[in-house]
Amino acid sequence: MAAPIRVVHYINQFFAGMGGEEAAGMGVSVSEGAVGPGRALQQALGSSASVVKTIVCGDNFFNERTAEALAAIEQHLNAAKAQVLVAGPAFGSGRYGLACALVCRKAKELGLPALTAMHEQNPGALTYRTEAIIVPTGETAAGMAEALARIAPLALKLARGEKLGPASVEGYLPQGRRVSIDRQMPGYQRALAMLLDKLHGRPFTTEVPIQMPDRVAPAKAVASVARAKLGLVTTGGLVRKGNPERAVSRMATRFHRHSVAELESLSGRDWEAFHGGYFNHIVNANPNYILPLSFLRDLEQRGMVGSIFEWIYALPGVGTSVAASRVLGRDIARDLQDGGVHAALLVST
Amino acid sequence: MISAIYELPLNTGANRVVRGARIEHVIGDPNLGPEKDYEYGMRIVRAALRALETEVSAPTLFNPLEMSLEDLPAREEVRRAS
Repeated sequence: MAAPIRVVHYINQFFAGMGGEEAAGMGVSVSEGAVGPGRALQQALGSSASVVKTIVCGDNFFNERTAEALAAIEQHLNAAKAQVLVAGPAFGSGRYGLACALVCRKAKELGLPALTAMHEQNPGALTYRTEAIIVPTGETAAGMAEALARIAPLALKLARGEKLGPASVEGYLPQGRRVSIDRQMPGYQRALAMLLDKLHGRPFTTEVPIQMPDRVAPAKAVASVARAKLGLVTTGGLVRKGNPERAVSRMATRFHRHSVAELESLSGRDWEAFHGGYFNHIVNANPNYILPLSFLRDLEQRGMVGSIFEWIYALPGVGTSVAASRVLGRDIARDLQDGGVHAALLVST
Repeated sequence: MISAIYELPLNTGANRVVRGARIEHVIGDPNLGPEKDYEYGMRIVRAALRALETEVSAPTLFNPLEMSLEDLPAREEVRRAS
């Protein structure tokens, strides 16, 4: 019987059981065999494959020292002598998703087939969907079993060097690649069939989907900030201390507006961060790190900026869908424009 | 947009992107001690103001660490007792 396919698994510090946000700065480490969800991955793969190595890296380390992280991971990938890499699943975690996608890209460069899995709106998918094979998942780890069930057969296919079919058939996110196939019917017949479906209100599938890029035209520059009214916005989850408004810590569906008319600075006595995507303690001590009121008041007093709008806007960006972000951003912008604001600073964590 | 992980906003269409310090402390760095922390934060804010005053046609990075201080608005030295 052939030797089992050798699989390398990449996960972050949290899934490796090494800690949460406070451990996100840890560097690259490696373990023999499966760790954490790797064990469930092993089960999903069955006896034809074996998770021989698990590579772990902290999400912050990876995103802030990417070249360094990839260099270390490259060494481990080369040493593993595996037939396929599985990264994640990252679900809705943006930094983890970005890391998984880049690790897959690195593996591909080294000639190692690779795939990852994350939510369709994960920044890793939005940015790298054309460069990595990404299986779509739900937003949370509650979908782990389902995700692994879809990853396993694809991983085995890739390991065996089998060609993957179209995204819709194999179950990964479309990469925008058009491959010519024979549809066994001349074009004019397919066009008529589609037209008849349309006319009769029946569902139809276009053969040529048009992807509209989401681009916003840059706003005109401000002539002089010394004459401008500036607005301050943050997605760092700034809240009043004690969170009296009961803001959520992730997956925002609304924003929160606070008056800073009387304030020269944001104090840790009166404000804090409530955001499930990063270690909040540093901002709790000095909230100006995510909404630079102290700096702008300084400049306002010296006449270097015109004025600071009395309302600041805050929400927790982590896990907030692109669709929700569009609506919230538009509403905040409208508020700012109604307030006579000329430009805004948006701080993101 | 001020962010420590600036590649993401650049790739998803934010037109003026200013590089922040770190995810957990975007405007400044507590490890530098109070005076240098404030200087760094002010440098980032001034780079952001510069970005507001700059015409761009596509996503553009403004890196406070690579911008000459003389170029930035609010030129007068701003120091604050901690």
